[in-house]
Amino acid sequence: MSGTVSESMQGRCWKFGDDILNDGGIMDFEMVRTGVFDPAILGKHCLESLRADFARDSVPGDIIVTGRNFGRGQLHDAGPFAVRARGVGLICVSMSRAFFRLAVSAGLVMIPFAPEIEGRINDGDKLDVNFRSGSIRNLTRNETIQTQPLPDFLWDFVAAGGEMNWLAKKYGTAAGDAHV
Amino acid sequence: MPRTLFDKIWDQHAITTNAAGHTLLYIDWLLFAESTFADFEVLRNDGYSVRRPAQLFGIADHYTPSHGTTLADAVDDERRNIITTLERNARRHGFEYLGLGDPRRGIQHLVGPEQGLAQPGVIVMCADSHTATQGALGALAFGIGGELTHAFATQTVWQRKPKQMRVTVDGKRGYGVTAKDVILTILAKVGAGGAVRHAIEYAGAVIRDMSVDERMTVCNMSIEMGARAGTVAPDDKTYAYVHGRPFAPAPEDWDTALAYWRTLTSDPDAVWDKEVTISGDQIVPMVTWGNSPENSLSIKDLVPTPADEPDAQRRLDMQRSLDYMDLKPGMPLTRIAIDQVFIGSCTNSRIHDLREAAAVLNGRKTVVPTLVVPGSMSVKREAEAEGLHRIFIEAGCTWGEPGCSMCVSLNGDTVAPGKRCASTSNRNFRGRQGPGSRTHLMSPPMAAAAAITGKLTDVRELI
Repeated sequence: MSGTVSESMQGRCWKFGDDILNDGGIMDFEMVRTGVFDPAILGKHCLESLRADFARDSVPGDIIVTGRNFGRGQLHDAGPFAVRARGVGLICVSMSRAFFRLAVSAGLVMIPFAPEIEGRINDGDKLDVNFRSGSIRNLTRNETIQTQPLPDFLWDFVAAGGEMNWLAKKYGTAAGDAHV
Repeated sequence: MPRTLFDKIWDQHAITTNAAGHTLLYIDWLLFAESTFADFEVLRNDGYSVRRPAQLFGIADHYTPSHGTTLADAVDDERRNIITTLERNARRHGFEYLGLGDPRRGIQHLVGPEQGLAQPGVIVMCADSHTATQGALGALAFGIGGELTHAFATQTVWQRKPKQMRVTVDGKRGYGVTAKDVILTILAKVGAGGAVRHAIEYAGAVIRDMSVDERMTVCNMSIEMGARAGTVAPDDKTYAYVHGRPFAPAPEDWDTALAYWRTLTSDPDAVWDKEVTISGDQIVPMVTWGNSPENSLSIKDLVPTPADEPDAQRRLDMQRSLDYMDLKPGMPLTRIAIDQVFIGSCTNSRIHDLREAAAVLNGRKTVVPTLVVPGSMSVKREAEAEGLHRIFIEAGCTWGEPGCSMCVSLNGDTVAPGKRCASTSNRNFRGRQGPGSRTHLMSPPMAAAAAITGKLTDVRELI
């Protein structure tokens, strides 16, 4: 991912429930089985099996809002890469540990642990989110929710566009956009 | 201070704890399959070597063919290449490779116990979700993923200590009720996220009464509740299971080992962060209807009705699962027709499972394609010595070569789009057995019953 990562997004909320799977939920397991890493393909099919309307109609700047334990299941990159390719933000009541690692590595713009949102955001709400400060303005309900943002040292990965770019920046290796 | 079984093994392997509260753990045995080629590449690029090759086992299971015994039988060059890459890495780094043709080969979670690697008090790690299977021997067995390169290079791994959860199954199992029905019942109660950040110890009369094979079925699905590990305290059955296996303690060390193993039970006053109790007498044959293993119900039940679910989000999730599975709310589960059957996987491919399935299939005919895949060469030999393979073949089943096979469909054994499979595996996720596949999880006897009738069936009516 080149260019700057936006700290805030204004867009529509796409809501998902608890325990959303990584393989078989965020991304079709077939992409893992056949080793697809092309962000254009992954982005196109992001969360498609759960909500075809999300895969069809969501636009960069929109925000995925989920319940507990988002991304459970197998530790595969296709899911987080798909979310990133889609250019959307991500706010979860909680995230599975394995997916959290992958999501930091992929540089997802996210608030992964936000129990404060429970019951306060509906599908379709217009949100104005500052991922750096953790402030979520629900424009539809005219309400502000304060959550705990990523700590600085993790935000550095997001700001760099993911782990590989972070490493390249820090150590000047040729890794560059290899991961993207 | 009172300790759990988990605490005792953990403390024995803890090297140091850092400021963030993560503990560096020593790994006794590290098992892994073919899809580790990238980790070895990282290892090589970073200039590291394998720290303890004698404690590593590379095992071909995910990509191996079930219709043949040689590399030439693999479905295509890509898969052949993935298998041979593991063999190459074994030669390069000097660890043991259990490949096609090796009489010890099988699904890694069967190989660990069969070889005596998994034994009370050890830490076994595998680069696989279902590592908890091996906790049935009174070992700590974790799945690791991103930490694999670190583990290769140091034979250690950083872990945050999970909380402790005890699941007690009291009473006595009823007629026709298997270990799979027990774990599916636990799953339905605890839920897909109910054991997140916890390690589970399974206890109670029903677990004690189980064979070691059956305990492995229970521990296998711990991950489906989000648990890091699942264990059963060792007892005489465990010691008898381990005795005489290749990596069991030597005869002169046996008494010392046994004295240590007998200390590996949770202290009576140990503190549990979470406790769940289930009455074993209430457990009945189970099947899953949806896209998560927690979606399990008694075979006597009806497909659930979303309108009955008060929570809007869960109602929506339920409807999406019903749409994917092409099921109508309120229909009896026993009216669901199936297209094929798979008996196998690290959940249910041990000799005990095959005996149970064969008992149902004996003298009957299957009406849908049925694939039976023993979990290891050892299980296959044992089953053939008992004549089980003849029962399967005479019933019209395909008798396959050991491997993960149709559980994860990486070796070419797939369920076609829109087709419905009665499966003894562990995951009914969307697309798990192939794009568009529909999976119903159940026990080996229940899968055998479905193979005979062509629909989900209460096996108690056939035995």
